[in-house]
Parts: sequence; structure tokens; C-alpha cells
Amino acid sequence: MRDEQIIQGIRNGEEAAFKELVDKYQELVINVCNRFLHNKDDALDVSQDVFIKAYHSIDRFRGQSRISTWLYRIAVNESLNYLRDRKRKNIFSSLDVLFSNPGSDPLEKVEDNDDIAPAKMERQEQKDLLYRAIESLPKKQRVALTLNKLEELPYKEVAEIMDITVSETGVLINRAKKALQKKMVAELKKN
Amino acid sequence: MKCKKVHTRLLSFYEGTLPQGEMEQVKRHLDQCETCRQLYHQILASWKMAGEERIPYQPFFYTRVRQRMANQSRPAGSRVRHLARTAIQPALFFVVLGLGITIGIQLGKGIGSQQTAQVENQQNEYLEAYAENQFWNGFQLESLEQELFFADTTSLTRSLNKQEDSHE
Ligand SMILES: [Zn+2]
Repeated sequence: MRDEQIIQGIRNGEEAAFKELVDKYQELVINVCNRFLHNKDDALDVSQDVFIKAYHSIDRFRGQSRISTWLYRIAVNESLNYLRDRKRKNIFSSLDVLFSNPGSDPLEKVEDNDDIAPAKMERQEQKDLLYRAIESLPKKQRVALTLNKLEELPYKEVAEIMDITVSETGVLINRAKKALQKKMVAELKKN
Repeated sequence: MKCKKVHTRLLSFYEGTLPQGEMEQVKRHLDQCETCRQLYHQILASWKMAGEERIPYQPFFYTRVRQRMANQSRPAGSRVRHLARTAIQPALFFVVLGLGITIGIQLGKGIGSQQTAQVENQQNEYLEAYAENQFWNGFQLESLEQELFFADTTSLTRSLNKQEDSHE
């Protein structure tokens, strides 16, 4: 099924067309969500909402951009919203831990994870180093860098997804790269 | 080139996107400076690893999307419960409070004895305090319950998803 047929099919309420959309683009959506969330379960969870949102707003899709661009945009927005909500919820749950368990230190549990192989830990640490650095970037820089460097999308498509110009995209990515390296160097020097 | 300047050019150096002169300067620096060379390799390692991470096609994904859509299309029951908790419950407390006071006043008028009036005042105070407490607790409980409920369902769907994953 071609993309235009998929869109038309969904508008006509054809189940098969929606299934085609999900099957064709699930990897794209799940992976871009994972780029922001760094967790498979969360990425799958948010991706479901991305497709539901796409389904309900299919009439707003004008067909000037590609389906992938449109889905990317929804996926980025949903992922960022999810992160924002999680941050809020974390504040509540950490308060919860503090009040319900005044005797125990929540950090204690994390530290007795010694049975993980050191090589694997190192890999995870290396990944975390980058993720922390990326998360510390201003939102637009983070999105531009993630889409261009990790999703390997060209500037033009990043610009379309973010609804900015190509030159603005370039500026964002350059700034992001510089800040990212500074942050990583600083963290590595600390250890 | 100084170390600090090199640090902000490591990724571009790796990509080969620096101007020709800078490419050579960074290369020369990395050849000579052990610290920067190590930083370069560490940063590059995490950079490559993050790019490689990919989640493969999920066979039951469409079914899950459909399931969630079905669940979302019938939240009417919970909406009614929510309304009951936020609006009807507090309203009921006021009605009860008002009734209590009116009955109290009527009783006080009817009997006219000082002693009973006193007792009845105490009762009113108690009733007022009780209603007020209940009212505020109602609100606090409500948001707490919502938090808990929300956390529950998300962790439940997650664990369900996990189970499904392990079957895949
Ligand atoms: Zn150096």
C-alpha cells in the first residue's frame, strides 16, 4: 500500500490501512522514542500513544510532508511530554520514599548490584555518559542533535520535523555538539 | 592548539567535518597529548554505542495499540466516579452540615434549656470540625488516590507488556 492510500484508507475508517501504517512505521517510531527515553518499555509505551494520536489526528495531516516526518514530529513531542511528566512524578515518588521509609536510604539498594559483569557496567556507563550529556542540553538542541546524529536524518528533514529553517537546524546542531563535548569532557575528568 | 579547544572539536574531527587546517592541528595534538587522546576514545566509544542501539520489529505491537485504543474509548465509568469524588462528595458534606445546624437550631428552640443548648452547640462544633476535616481530606485523598491509581495502571500495563515480550 502506498502512503497516500494508507492515509486515505484510515480516513475511510479501514482497519487494514491503520494496521499497515503501524506495521510499516513502528520501528521508526519506537526507535526515535527510545532515543529520547533510553528505555525499551517506555519507548513501546509511548509509541502506542504516538499511533493513537496519529489515528485521531489523521484529518490534520495535509500530505505536504511525508508520513515519516509527521510521525517523527508526534513521536518527539510525545517523548518529551512523557519525560516532563515522569520528572513530575519522580518528585512525588521520591517524597513518598522519604516519608514512608524514614529509616532506609534509597541509595543503598542501588549499590549492592555488584554481580553485573564489569565489562557490561562499563558499556552502560559509557552510554549513560552520553545520555546524561544529551539530557542536559536545551530542548531544541537536544531534539536537533538526536535526530541528526543518532537517527541520522539530514538537516532538511530535521528542519521539517522541528518546523524551523535548515540554517537554524545547523546552528542548533553545532551548538549542541560543542556543549555536549564540553559536558562529557568535564564528566570524564571528574572520574 | 590548546587542550580546551581540542575538546570542543573531537566529534567534528571524528566526522572529518573540520576545516582542513583544524583537522591537522587536532590530529597533531592528539598524537602528542595522552589525556586528550584518551578523552577522544572515550567520547567516541559512547557516541558510537548510542547510535548502534536499535529496537527490532515488535510482532504484537499493533495488537497492543488496538487494545489501548479500546481501553481509552470507554473511560465513562471512571469519569463518573471522578465527578462523584470531586463535586458530589463535598457538596454532600455541606448539605449534611446545613441539615445538622438547622436541626440543631430547631431542637434548641423547641427545648429551650440552657444545658441542652450547650450540648447542642458542642455537637455543632464537632459536626463542623468533622465536616471540614472530611471535606479537606476528601480533596487530599482524591489527588493521592489518583497518583496511586495512575502509577498502578502504568506499572500494570508495563508488566503486561513485559510478559508479552517474554512470550515473543
Ligand atoms: Zn590535550
